[in-house]
Amino acid sequence: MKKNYFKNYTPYFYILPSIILLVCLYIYPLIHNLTKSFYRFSGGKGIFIGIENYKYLILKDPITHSAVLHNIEILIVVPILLILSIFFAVLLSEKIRFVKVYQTLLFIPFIISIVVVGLVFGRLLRLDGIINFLLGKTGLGVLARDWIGRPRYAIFALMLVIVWKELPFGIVLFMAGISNINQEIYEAAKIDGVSWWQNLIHITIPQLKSVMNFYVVYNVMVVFAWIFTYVFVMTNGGPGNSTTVLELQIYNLAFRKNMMGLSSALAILLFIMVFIFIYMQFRLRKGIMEES
Amino acid sequence: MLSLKAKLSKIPIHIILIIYSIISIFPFYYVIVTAFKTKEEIYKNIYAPPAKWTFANVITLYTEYGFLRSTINSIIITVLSILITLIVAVFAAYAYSKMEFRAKRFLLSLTVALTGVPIMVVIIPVYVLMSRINMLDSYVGISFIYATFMLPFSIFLLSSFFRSIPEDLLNAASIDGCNRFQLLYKIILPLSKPVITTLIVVNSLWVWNDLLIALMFIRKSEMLTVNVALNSIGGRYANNPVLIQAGALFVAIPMILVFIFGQKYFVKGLLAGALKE
Repeated sequence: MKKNYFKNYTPYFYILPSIILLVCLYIYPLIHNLTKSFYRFSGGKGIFIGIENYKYLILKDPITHSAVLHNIEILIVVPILLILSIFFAVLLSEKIRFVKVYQTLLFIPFIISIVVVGLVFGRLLRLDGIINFLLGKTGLGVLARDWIGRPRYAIFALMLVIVWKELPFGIVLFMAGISNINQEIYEAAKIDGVSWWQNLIHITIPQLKSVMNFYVVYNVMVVFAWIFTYVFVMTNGGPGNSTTVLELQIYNLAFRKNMMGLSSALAILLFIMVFIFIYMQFRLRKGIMEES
Repeated sequence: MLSLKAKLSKIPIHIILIIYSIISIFPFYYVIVTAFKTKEEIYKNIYAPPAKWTFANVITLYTEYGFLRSTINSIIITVLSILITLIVAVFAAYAYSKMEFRAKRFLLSLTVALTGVPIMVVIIPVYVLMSRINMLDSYVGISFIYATFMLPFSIFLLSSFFRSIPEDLLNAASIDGCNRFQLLYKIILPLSKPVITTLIVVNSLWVWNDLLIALMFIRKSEMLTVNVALNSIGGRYANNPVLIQAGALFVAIPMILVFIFGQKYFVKGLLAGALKE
């Protein structure tokens, strides 16, 4: 009897270390942020101010507003990534030679650290860099400019690098999606004499619908909550505040301006946004599982 | 046998893929050719391979800029954090996949849901906590942070793999006298080599390449990881591109090796989060 009693509790010993670590790094900080978000700190003392921090961030703070707008502007990369990754995945799924070689080469951006990428593109995007040189050679010289140094264009430089680096994941995802499509559908279409284009538009793309849903939501999440390092390394929010994004604003409020209350409140707002995305993604993943 | 016409129709596809491959590797090419040029040559010849290859930049980087120490730091932190994650995740996944207990489903879905929580949302309170208990600039401290951020994904991947191991196999072994712990390391772990390799490849890439956490939790120059060291060299010696690109090269190379040897596992790991339960 005693042994049985012990047995019932054994599973908890197995999961206990993971629970302790996860509570310390996820649950405690969330609670900590939530409490701090109702305070204003001055001289090491906290004064309870209710929802004033949230009110300020949502209604007044110009830098936070422009940060949100920059995140929204960067959302342009979502459709670009979607179209390009389907395009390349379709090409790589054709029965061609050297697929493995191409796949390895085009994966390189994904595995190089953002610090390295930032330092290299910093050079390539300079006024005398190769990107402006190529623009000049192809008759697009009017487009040549100091991409990172000018407030209006720095955000486009960021988007270019994000697309360049994040695209391989999408390609691999859609290649897997394409290889999961039932071959019988294509064989049936072949008998009906369906062309390559019709195959693509009427079979491949509709069959990828659930992967597309997943990928779009995933990238929206990336743009709102996982691009800190790109911004920090390439522009550090500048010139001026022209490329500040939500994550950088949370970081700056805490470390550069020492406004812990505001920083915590903004972290909570970002968490709520991401929570909505996670919930959507969970529903979509469930959809994928039910289909397959 | 493909007809000639079918073969010719593939040519545009190859042209597009070759152009895209060049775009993908050009920055890395730039890193290599710059890293081995002299400081003078860089102004005359930016993109072509060096007229005379020199290792001076690499030597300076490692001897005068503390890059050797940073590389050792990065290796220690990567290995230690992956070890911690694997040990903690294996036990948790074993319980979640092969044992029955109350609140199991709830705890597992909560753990997996944490995969998506952005680091920036939780990291500042962790920083405050760690500085209060004097765990900044510590291998163990930062490794536990990395390990914990890798846990949700690792537990998710391991528990779904463990679930696929047939009960009959475990029942037979336990009739032969294996206890719960022996089942884990005699039966389950040997079968799990592929999924563990996947976790090592994916996680080492993430830890090695991370900037944010290393930036916050390491202050002393002798504790810097390669990416933080490179970032500060990039900021401070912007007029010395050959040195910067030599650093960039040696930050990138280890992960390119990991990727080349573990490509199959790496792709599997990426897809696991998206396509499979």
